[in-house]
Amino acid sequence: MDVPVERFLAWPPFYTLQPNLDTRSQQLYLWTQILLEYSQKNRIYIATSHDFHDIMRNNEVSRSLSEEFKNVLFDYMLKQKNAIREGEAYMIFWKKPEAWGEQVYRWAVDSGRVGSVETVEGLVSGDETTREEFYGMPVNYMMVILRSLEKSRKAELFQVGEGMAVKFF
Amino acid sequence: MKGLKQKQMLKERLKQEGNQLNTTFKNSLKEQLERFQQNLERFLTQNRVEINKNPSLRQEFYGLCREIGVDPLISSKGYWAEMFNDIQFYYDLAVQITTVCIALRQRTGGLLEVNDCLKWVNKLRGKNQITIQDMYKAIETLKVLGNGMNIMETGDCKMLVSVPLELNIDQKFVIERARDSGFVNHAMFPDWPRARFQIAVDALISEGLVWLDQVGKEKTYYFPGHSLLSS
Repeated sequence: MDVPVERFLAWPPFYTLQPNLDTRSQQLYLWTQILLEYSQKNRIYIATSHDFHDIMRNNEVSRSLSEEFKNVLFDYMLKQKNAIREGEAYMIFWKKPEAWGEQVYRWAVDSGRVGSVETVEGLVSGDETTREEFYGMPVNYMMVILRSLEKSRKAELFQVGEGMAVKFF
Repeated sequence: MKGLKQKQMLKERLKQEGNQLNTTFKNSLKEQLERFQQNLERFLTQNRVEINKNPSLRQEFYGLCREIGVDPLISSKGYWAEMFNDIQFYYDLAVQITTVCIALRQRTGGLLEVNDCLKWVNKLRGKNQITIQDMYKAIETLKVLGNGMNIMETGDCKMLVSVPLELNIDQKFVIERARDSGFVNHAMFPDWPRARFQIAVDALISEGLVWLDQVGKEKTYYFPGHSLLSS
């Protein structure tokens, strides 16, 4: 039982950074959920605040998030590991890299790729993965996922020519 | 002969005396029993949640009832059975009310209007709707548990308070003014100097009861319990 987020999005104070810290963390949590859901729906992998322009404002109540608010929000998302800095932009993880990793690894097992070498480029844009959820994600985004697999010793990354390749175990 | 008559008179007197004593004794016993029953009822009313909750206490209590000739379980008609059914109903209801208040507490800061709470509870119950009177009765049973749940009255606005909260007159007044709109600003308190208003709303903010809405320099204070949750 909870208040639907649409209610919050139509509620004027939701766009003002709250002075009470408990209230603020509640507010930031809700905003994070909203941005993650929005990213997932629109397949936003790497974003700046411009990509969230539409969701961060509500013309019906004439409110929008200030630059300060956006900065605090992205800092919060970094801390919660829902975002990773990528130059001036952010990689948005509506699913944690570990969870993505499991999905990629399952594909490797199911399609008999364990032990063979795949290019990272091929994973996200090759013919073999068109039906996978991770198909179409940017290469550097996939790299974060593969590194988490590497950490759990299910994959190893190495350079092949210009690009990167991966071997699953 | 005279002695015999006197003896008879004495016997008569003694009998009268005895009867009177008997009646007095009976009356006082009846009175005592009545008072005992009243006390028992009062005890039951005051402690029904506790009685219903605590199995060993309930056992003892049933035993006591049986000993004075009242069977709270078997007697299907009458006061006792009704009372115990009542207890269960209002106890369950109280649990639902508490569930609603606690589930929404993070959002409301612990302040929920009774009417709004009723809507949520009825949403939860589905078919078996309850009335506002049932709400009050159920909340009454919660008092046994201490100060965990209180009703705060400001004007004709009744709020359920599910956090330990001490509000002063100014703060309560601010809450009452927010009732219809769901928000307050300084303009709504023309008689108050800005500082007085600010102190009241700042306290409400630090309790987590109020959200700030700032556009430029203009500040408005919103009560989620009033404006966000009510439909």
